[in-house]
Amino acid sequence: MGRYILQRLIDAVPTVLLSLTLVFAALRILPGDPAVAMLGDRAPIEQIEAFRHKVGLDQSLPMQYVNFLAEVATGNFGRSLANDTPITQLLADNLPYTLELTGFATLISLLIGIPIGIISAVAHGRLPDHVARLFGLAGYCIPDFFLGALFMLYFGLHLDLLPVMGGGTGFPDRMLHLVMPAATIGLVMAAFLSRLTRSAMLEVLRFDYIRTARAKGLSTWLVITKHALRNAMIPIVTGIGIYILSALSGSIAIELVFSRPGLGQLMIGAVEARDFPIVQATITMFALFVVVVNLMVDVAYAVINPRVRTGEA
Amino acid sequence: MSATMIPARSTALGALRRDPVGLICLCIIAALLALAIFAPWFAWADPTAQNVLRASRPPSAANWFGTDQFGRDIFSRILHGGRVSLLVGISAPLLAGLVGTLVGVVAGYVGGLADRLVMRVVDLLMAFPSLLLGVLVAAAMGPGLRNVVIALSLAFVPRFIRIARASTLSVRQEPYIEAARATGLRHRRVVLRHVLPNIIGPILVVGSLQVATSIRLEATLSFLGLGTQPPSPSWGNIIRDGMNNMLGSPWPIVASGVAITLAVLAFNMLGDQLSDAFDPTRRRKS
Repeated sequence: MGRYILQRLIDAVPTVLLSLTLVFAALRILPGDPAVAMLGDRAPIEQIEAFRHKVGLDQSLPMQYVNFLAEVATGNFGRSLANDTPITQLLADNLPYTLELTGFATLISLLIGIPIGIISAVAHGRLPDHVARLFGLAGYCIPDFFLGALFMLYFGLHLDLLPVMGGGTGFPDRMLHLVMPAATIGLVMAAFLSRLTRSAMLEVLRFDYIRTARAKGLSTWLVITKHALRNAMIPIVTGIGIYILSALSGSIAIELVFSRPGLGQLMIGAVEARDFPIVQATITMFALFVVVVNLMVDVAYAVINPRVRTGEA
Repeated sequence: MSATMIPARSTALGALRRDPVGLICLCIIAALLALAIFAPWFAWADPTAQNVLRASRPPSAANWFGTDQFGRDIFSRILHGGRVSLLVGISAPLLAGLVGTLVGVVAGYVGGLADRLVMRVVDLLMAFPSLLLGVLVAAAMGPGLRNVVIALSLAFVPRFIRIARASTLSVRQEPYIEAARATGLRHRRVVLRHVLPNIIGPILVVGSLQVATSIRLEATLSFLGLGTQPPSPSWGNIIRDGMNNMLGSPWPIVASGVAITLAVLAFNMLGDQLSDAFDPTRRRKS
């Protein structure tokens, strides 16, 4: 087990490098100049030159690449162009908000999505299944930021139940500010997760050992939780990685809807404010997130599927 | 099996037409396309004309969906915004589909080192959430319609490569491919005449689902201010504008959100129906 995890960690090194290279290259090699993209194509040439010099875009590409990797390795991303704040500070301030939003959203989606998926599979073809499938379809079709805006209109402005803006100060207030944003992302994710759980359960419920377990006289509940769910968990856990990442990317728009601080807000604000170093640092953070989540999925996969850790698969 | 696969295409479309859900989806899509294409005929009001005297009105006979904080007619903005949303929604998967199918088929047919290299890049791109790729491209190339199409195509290409490659790998095993080669056909003809027609089904399914995703992502990017730039309307930036005037009027948000949901729903259901229609085992059952 430990060996498998170590192996995955070593495998992750080139993936991290590739992802960092992708971010680096996309910002520089794609047609279009980040300086022009940031300042607009009518900016005077001197202004563009000054900008390039200030953020180091006038150095040779290999030199920029080495500097970029050094920044990532040391966690020192330089300073914001707009107000000279150290970017590391900005990241540290905003990261907790994004983490708590993504974390709670994932928790909500697990608590709602998996049970709905199970009920849907067990009641296959009957009314609860139809309702659950409708829920799954709705979650795919309603954009998360629209759902967030609807929640805000109804629960925030119409009923005046929940705070509509900001991240809150102090623990109780902060949790209160988390309810609507986390519920928005959580519900959309729960819809996806219910679809996934349903199909994974239907797949498993077909097998002979389920019939055997039932024939032994085990209760339906026990058959579902002990026999079916455990085996259905493998595709679900693999899928959860994708959903955590979609919650993370969903947090970008949701932070904007609810004017919450966070990495997404920081990133979009920086694109608008033409703050190139922050843009690069935040996108890098998101890219590293992607790698870490994928790595966690690999490890979780090994924990629930013994064949992977003993190397049979 | 291979004998039944050749006429599968025509009967699949036939099955789609006979199926009520598929028919409804096609009707909704046709209606949305017609409303978008002929937007100036249906909505006379200029979608960018401001009129502060008629700001933040609820729906009325003159302004079916009301007006926004600048007094612009929302109905007209939704129809004109639909042009952008559907244009991006369809062109990004189309572009990605053409490139992805070509690369995927070649990778699957040729195999070897080229195949492994392509799949490595595909895995890397697939790991990134599409929205993040969109933000990355917008940051590098600037916001705007053309760059959104490029960003979304980049996000979708790996999905098409993967499905085209997998389908090619399974088709390549079929005896009729070997037979075609044995009759002396060149590789290019084998691919064009025998491989492509037999893998088009799964690619169309992915394509239809990607149109749904593409409409959703374009709306999200425009909502973030990285897509269609104001004053041009798009479904995403109508909601963005609406967020600044929530107390004044909820109508822009609701109308635009419903439009996105409806379009995504129609293309998503169409994808599901196509998937059923192209699956011979399911068709026989019904």
